Amino acid sequence: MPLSAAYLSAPDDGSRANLAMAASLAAIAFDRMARGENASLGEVSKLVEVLKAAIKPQELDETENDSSAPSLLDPVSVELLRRALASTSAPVAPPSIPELSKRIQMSIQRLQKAARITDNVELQSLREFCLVLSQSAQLEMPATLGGVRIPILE
Amino acid sequence: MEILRYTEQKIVRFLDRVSALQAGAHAQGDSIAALAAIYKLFDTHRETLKALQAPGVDAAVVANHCQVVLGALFQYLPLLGFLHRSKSASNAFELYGPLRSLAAKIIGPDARLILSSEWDFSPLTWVRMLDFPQYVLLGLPASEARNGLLMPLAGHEFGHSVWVRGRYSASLKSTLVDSVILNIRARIVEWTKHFPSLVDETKLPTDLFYVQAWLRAYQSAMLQCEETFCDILGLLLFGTSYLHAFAYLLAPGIPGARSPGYPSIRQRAGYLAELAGADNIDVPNGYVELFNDTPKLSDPDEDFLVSIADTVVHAQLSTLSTAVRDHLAACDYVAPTSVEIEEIAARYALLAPAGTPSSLAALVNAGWRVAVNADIWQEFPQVRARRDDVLNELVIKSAQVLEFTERVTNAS
Repeated sequence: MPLSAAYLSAPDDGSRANLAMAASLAAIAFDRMARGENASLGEVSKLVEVLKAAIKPQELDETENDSSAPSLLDPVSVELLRRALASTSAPVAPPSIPELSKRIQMSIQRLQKAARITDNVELQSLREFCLVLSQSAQLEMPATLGGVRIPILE
Repeated sequence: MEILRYTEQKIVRFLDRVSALQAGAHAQGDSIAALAAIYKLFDTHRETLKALQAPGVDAAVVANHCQVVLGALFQYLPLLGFLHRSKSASNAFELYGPLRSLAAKIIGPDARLILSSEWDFSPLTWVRMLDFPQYVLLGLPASEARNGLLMPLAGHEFGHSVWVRGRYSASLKSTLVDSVILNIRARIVEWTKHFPSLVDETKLPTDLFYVQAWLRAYQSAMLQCEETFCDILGLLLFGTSYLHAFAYLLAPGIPGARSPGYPSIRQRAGYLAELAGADNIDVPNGYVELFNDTPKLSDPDEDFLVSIADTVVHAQLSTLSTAVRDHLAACDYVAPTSVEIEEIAARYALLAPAGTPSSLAALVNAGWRVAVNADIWQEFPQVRARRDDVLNELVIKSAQVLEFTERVTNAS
């Protein structure tokens, strides 16, 4: 069921819109680290902030405790992150929001520990996660990297 | 890696165009700052691309970043075009000062405004510019860019910036999701006809297959809420003149199926009339009937989901209206009085611009009172023959008076 452009050009609060760029720059940083070079972790921190703004971790905590709470997550962000997680880890089965929420939370925690990571496999894994996230964001909202053009009538 | 070299070359050429635009004259000061900011942003992209030329960089990382940067070029070249056209003589530069003041009052003191005459008949705005969130780009159709009576439509476009800054979508998110699910449950028989493999309604909130199926209804509802919020802001800022300007430009509607991101044009008019009536704003007779109803969407599943969204949005009308009212109150916005509007209209009737107008809303409402007065200027046949142009000049001249008045007030 493809989503039409009319829907895709409308991020909820704008915080997801630069996800493609932020994730790509974080992937570059992890690639440098995996090659043994120094890399600024500022880009990774920015990605963490973008992710936090997009999915609201405090809401994830609530969802973990209450699987009947359907309204706490933004469904577009959830779908975008589900795709990234599905490409880089074992699929979530059955596809439930609480289980997915836990995985998203874990991914954020992994990114937050970036400065202390020395294991090359983990660095490469994070690079792949950021890459897929960037690609997923581009697929979801190609019109929102710089801004959204909104006519009064369409 | 040729793709990397080509990408860098495209950035260099883009930067050349920015430099060329920076070199010209600019009547709107904010466009100079915008060009400088865009230059800085893309210069950073150029630096990142240079760093990717180092040996051993993962090929997938390079390819992805080139794609992201190419996406930025696709995004920003139209913005450069907007900035290029903002220098065109077809813009009503006389309106810039008062509109910028209004933007600062309604959106925020740091708001930067750029007006442009666009080759698109629909007025439009660029928002959610994450790299430049303080900018409000307002485009008016080139053929109408000097029509002062259409200024109220800027109120709608400012609404998008207010919506983003106020994070209204975040506060509505939970309500809309709940409401979508509630409405689907109320129409569960129809739902199962459209989605026969998703028949367990207990899974609607948590199962991702179900969420994916109703996602379009949620997104449509959110977009419609934003558009409705903007219409309400335009209405409460500019009163009856917003209704006139909206109808002038958009009635009876445009051909083709409705966009799911907007209430149908007739529904929008209905919302406006309903809210105007509740706010003692005069609604022209037969206003809603000026707009044609739009046919159903051709895809039955999409039509069903959008009908869910329509119901959800209608239920939010009061909430949205309250949100706009609260925002305007927080901005200390005061609508012009009927007496003030009548005084300015009386001056227009004497072919004189407004003396000391208090707001754009006052002078444009007076303009519309004259515009719909069939008997105006009967005693001046030479004026009556070109009444629309004369009226527009009066409105634009009055905007200049307003700007002068504001500057004097601010200086003192």
